[in-house]
Amino acid sequence: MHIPDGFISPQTYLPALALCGALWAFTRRRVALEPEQLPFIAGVSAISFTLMLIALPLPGGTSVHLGGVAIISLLFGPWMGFAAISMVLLIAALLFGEGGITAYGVNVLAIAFGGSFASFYMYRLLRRWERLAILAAGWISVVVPSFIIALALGIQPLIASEGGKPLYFPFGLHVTLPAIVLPHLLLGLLEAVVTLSVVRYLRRRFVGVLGA
Amino acid sequence: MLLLFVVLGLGAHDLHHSISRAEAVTVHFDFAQEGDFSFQSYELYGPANSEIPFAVGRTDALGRAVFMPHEAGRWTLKAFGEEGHDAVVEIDVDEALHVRPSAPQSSLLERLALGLGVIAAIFGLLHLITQRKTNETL
Repeated sequence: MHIPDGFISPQTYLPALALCGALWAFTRRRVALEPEQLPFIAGVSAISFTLMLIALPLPGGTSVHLGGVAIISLLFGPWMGFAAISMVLLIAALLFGEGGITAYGVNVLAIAFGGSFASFYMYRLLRRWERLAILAAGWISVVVPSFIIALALGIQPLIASEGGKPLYFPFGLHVTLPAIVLPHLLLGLLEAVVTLSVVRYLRRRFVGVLGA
Repeated sequence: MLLLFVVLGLGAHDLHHSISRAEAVTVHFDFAQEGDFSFQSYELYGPANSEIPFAVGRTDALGRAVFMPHEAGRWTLKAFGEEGHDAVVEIDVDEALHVRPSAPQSSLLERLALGLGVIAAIFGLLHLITQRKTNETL
């Protein structure tokens, strides 16, 4: 799902990077690092990094991967999720080229911000039914980012063309929305199960640190 | 004379071909297993023109894009997967029109180990910083 370099126009990635900068500055004030929570945040970030590296092939040549975004967001709050996943995406982009440097801002807004906040508020909305709330949070944590990525890619022919020829990503929304979002509607089911398993396990085992 | 022009005119519309052996550059794409990036579109740009593609096409059934450079310099291959997994590959061609084969990208396990190591290092550092702040306040 990560967008590489060369497919997003400066009209898209410059505002996205600027918005990310503002959000990181705001995050710094919203997030308090507790020493006893750090090992858990590190562990869950490592889970997220690992899940993002494992691509699951789908029929038709597409592949998708899990994210683990909702796990961090539900356990430590959406701002911590945003910060931790931003770091995971930076490592993936710098060390392995998984997602571009110029596209980093768009990837962060879609996966780290969109995923963290969508899952957190979905959980809050349904928290009366605990299991359902966690499942729904896990599901939406991949669906919302896939929608944002599809939008960012699909608008490129509209905003960055010359003489009718797209300068960056060549496929429009009619291609990107079904091609990206539909597989993630299915993948979300797997993400939901993984999120439920990990969140419930960690909350049961470490009540004092992670709360109930 | 008229007959001669008619015969020559007919020959001008024939499509000729020749078969030869030549060295080509092969760029192989895949995700986790071979063939994942098959039949995906790509655009190839030569060193002289980054606006108009030298070639456009689709990867073959094994996920390969193959071309024959005719001039030295940096060639750019853009491969587009419709699901957003795409790549831009830059290929340096020397004066003899040769390329240096690239080393295969690091394996999943190597990347996993390196990434987890970096995450552990970052959080270890954060832990030290927060511990020191806690100690200072006590």
